[in-house]
Amino acid sequence: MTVTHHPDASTLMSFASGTLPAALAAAVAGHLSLCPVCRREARLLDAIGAATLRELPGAPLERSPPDPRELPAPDTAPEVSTGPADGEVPFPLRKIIGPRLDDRTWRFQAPGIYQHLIRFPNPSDGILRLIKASPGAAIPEHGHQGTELTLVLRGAYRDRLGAFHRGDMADLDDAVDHTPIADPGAGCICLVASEARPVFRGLLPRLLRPFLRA
Amino acid sequence: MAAMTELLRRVSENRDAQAFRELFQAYGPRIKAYMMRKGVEAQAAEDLAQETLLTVWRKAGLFSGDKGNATTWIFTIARNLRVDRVRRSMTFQPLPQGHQEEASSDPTPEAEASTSEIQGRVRKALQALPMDQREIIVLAYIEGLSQSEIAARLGVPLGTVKSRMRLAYQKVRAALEDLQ
Repeated sequence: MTVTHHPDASTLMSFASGTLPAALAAAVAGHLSLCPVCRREARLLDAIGAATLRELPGAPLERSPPDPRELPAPDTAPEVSTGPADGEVPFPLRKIIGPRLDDRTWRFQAPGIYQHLIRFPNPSDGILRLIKASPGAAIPEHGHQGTELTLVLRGAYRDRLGAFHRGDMADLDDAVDHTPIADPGAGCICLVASEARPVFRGLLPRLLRPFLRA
Repeated sequence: MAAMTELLRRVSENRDAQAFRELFQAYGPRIKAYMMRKGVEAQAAEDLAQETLLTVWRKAGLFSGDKGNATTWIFTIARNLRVDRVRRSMTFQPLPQGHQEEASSDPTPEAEASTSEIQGRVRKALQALPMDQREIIVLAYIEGLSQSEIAARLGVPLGTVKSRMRLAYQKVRAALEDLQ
């Protein structure tokens, strides 16, 4: 399945500059490992960083370079094990999710909706949630404070922006309200990264709010 | 900067200590300045510059001389270290040609055009940007400000920051179109 929904160029640029909050950076890294098109964009965005660094006037060093004889032994193996490529969880996310989605513990949130929450030490890093939606389940309509990135890891969902399959990313800002419905056959597991808690709207969502607490 | 890529290739393939010293002298001061822009005081910034270059030494074996560009590779190491140590946040970004990608056989722009050609065009395109777009690039990449921090610094809406980023990117990309 070809990835058809991608993060905004401004999101990729913030990722390349190292300024995206960690939760959002995790979701982008997951998308990149599933999307050759965006990997290519990311390489160009890294090259922009390199060109900008090159123009930066240097600050003189106080100390001389280390003596070659004192240099540490080089790494001989890649830092990250390549592992089997068939795991459902993209490599960059395995350090926080593990290799298999089915190993996670899921908490009931609302009928047909389960969640696994991943916290970061700093509030400014944002919040990461794995959301599991049963076939046909609707995630209550919500808007966002700040950017919200959703990466589909299993199954699919549909909302008024279209159909989202594995690898697809929805990059939404606070202007967008949406009601994703999980695929009637396969259901859906998504990684949702947000800068702040989602804001649920309407009467039914208000009734669900106690269940949807992080 | 083809000369720099040649130096890094010598470190990568031959553990050439002299080539490493030259890389150190070329990049150390810039990386120190890069760390200081994010509020690190001079002494600690120099430590981080040293650490960046030592990482270059240790990981040089991962650098592929015919596909990669030294400045881009070293920038990503410095960037990740700044996120990790200065922002004290988690990094999810592999090095270019890192081993985290699931399909490693992507056609890369580097495979189709020389990396110094790409770097030269990127630099030119950045210099040709309107001031307000160039400013955003520097605030993000060098000052290390998030989109909302840039919006607050400039007193413009977040949407304006995003659209300037998009425009800047489109122009750089257009400058490389015939290479890809």
